Amino acid sequence: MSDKPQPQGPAAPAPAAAQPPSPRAAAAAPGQASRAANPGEPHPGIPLAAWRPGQPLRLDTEHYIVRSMQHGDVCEDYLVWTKDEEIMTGVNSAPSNLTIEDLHKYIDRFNNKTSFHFGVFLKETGRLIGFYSCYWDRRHNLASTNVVIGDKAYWGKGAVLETRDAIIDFLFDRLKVGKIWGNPMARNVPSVFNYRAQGFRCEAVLRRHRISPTGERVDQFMFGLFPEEWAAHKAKRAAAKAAKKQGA
Amino acid sequence: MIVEDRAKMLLATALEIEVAAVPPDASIATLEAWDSLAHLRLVQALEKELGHELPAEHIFAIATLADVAAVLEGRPIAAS
Repeated sequence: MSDKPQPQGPAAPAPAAAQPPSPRAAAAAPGQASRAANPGEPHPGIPLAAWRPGQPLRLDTEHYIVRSMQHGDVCEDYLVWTKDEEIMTGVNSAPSNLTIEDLHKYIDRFNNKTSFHFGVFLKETGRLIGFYSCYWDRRHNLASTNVVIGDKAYWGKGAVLETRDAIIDFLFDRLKVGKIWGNPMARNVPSVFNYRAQGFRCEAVLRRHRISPTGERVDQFMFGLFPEEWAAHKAKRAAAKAAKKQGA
Repeated sequence: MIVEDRAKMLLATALEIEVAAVPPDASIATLEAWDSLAHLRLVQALEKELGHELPAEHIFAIATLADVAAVLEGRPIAAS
């Protein structure tokens, strides 16, 4: 499911449609603190407190690890997701014939400074269940978070809400992004739901703005979230949780 | 069946919970089972019931049991 079924916005199983700027691979970033414990294994990512731009980042949530994807993370599952019609429809793309090498090249486009390709890994087993492609337009201090939860067993399980919470915190608190936006297809109901559930406001409905893989013109939403709205949303959510706990 | 009962039944079916577990003030904020997939099932059920696709605005705006009833009756959804 992409958030973009979440498949919530134009998420990334459509590498050709992505526009990350620098060709430098995250793993090749200079000043990188340390490499993976075992040669050939993906870098575990630098925890946020110690992270510097250009380094592979790691964000921990209750059930997931969100960290910069590397070549070693590309698995058969990832490839299968890009060929899955249901998943690709969520990102308004047709199934593709990408190879492992294509995905490596795609990952190499993200610099871990202004563009991030995060894998979503199960904390318990380390298995990859999805990914984000996040872009930070520094000129306008505007960011986007496009997500695909490829493992359908995790659709409707709150994986996007939990992991995007951490990414939004990173964007607002660490990068000091001024606004986050998203533009899911209107018929991508789970994605629309998730944007709403995270306090994004609907700023526009672009009528028949895109052409679907089946050739129909389809509506698209424009969602936006400012730092103060995110803070208010989190406070409201915490208050609701506390009230519920008290009532229980 | 009155529209409130139809709305409650549709919502309960979409959320895969008992009708009795849907309170009159049910909302996305109060019902844990109202997740992204449940919302998808609800939109599909409403479209089947109405016989046409919901406008894009409704997909975003439906957030309470009252909204579901409003959509069934063709009334505007109250701003939340």
